[in-house]
Amino acid sequence: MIGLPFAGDGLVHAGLLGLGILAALLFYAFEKRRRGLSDPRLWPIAGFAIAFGAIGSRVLTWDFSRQVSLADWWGNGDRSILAGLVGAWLGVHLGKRLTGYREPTGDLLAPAVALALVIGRVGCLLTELPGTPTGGAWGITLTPGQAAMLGGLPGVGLHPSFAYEIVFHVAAFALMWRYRDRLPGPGDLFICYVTSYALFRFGVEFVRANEVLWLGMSRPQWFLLMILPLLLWRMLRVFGKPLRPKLEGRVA
Amino acid sequence: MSKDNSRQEEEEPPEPALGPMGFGILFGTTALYAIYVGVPIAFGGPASMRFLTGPSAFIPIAVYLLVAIVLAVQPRTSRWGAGLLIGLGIFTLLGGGVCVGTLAAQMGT
Repeated sequence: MIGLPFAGDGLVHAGLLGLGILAALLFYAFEKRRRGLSDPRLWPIAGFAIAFGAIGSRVLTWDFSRQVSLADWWGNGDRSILAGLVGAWLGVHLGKRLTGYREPTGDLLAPAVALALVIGRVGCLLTELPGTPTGGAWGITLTPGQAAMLGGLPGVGLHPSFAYEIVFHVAAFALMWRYRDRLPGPGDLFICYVTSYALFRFGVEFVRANEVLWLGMSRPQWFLLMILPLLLWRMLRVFGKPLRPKLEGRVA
Repeated sequence: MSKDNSRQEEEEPPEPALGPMGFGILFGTTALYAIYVGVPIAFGGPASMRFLTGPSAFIPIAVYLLVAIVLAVQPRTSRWGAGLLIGLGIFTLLGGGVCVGTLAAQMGT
């Protein structure tokens, strides 16, 4: 059994999140250069993604039914990666509309997001409630003090759900790196990444120990159930076309 | 590739250094932490403040966001604006969001 070394330590969590953002920005700069993209509007678009992703991660989880003001929710409410990704997506669209940038940017952003999530989720793994009980020897065990603080069960091996997610994002990053120039159209890499993450996240939520909303499923699962049909439809369109032998044109 | 296209690529200005954007990130995060952490400390805690509490806690961050967007969409200041937007994201994700929430949750006295 493994312990939780930094339970509830906001500094460790924030530090790793900050490292994740830094790594994503550096990768974005590298990939932009590799693709020969020098349009000055691409940095503001990245800025829109980060700013609106951060705001979205707090605001888009606002639960009116709990009768909590937005001010209270901003400070003490739930924060979510999924809501952050939706916020970042909205931010990119706003940024592109305001700057007049027309080319797809998803393929440039997707690997950077995966990299940020790999590092950011290490912060979650070291500090947050890991998951539901598991019979396996790989479970994370909480002390009674940690269990009281995080709302979990003490002395029982818990699924390291964030470790599962880290493995997913590492694999996704590696696959995106491998196929980054080979998918049929611009934006397809982003579609594949988001769809596969949505599917993975839907599954991992069953061992995540998030609050069950209805029919044994959590709030993120219900949200994913709503968007998955659209994502799967887009994904089918991607794989309905042949792979490209090499990069064509200068598109993000 | 036509002659015009190759000339256009040759004439493409080199990407500027990280300077304005890095400075924007540094300035933006410092300014936001100064407002939402430094000011309450200087005034002896949020409970003893008559301003920047309740809904008005969101005013500086909203103005900051607006200024950052305006700068980001202007070609001459786009890197500054990008830096300020990234700074806002970093501030919000790295503890600053909690500070804003704490101030916003205080009822103005």
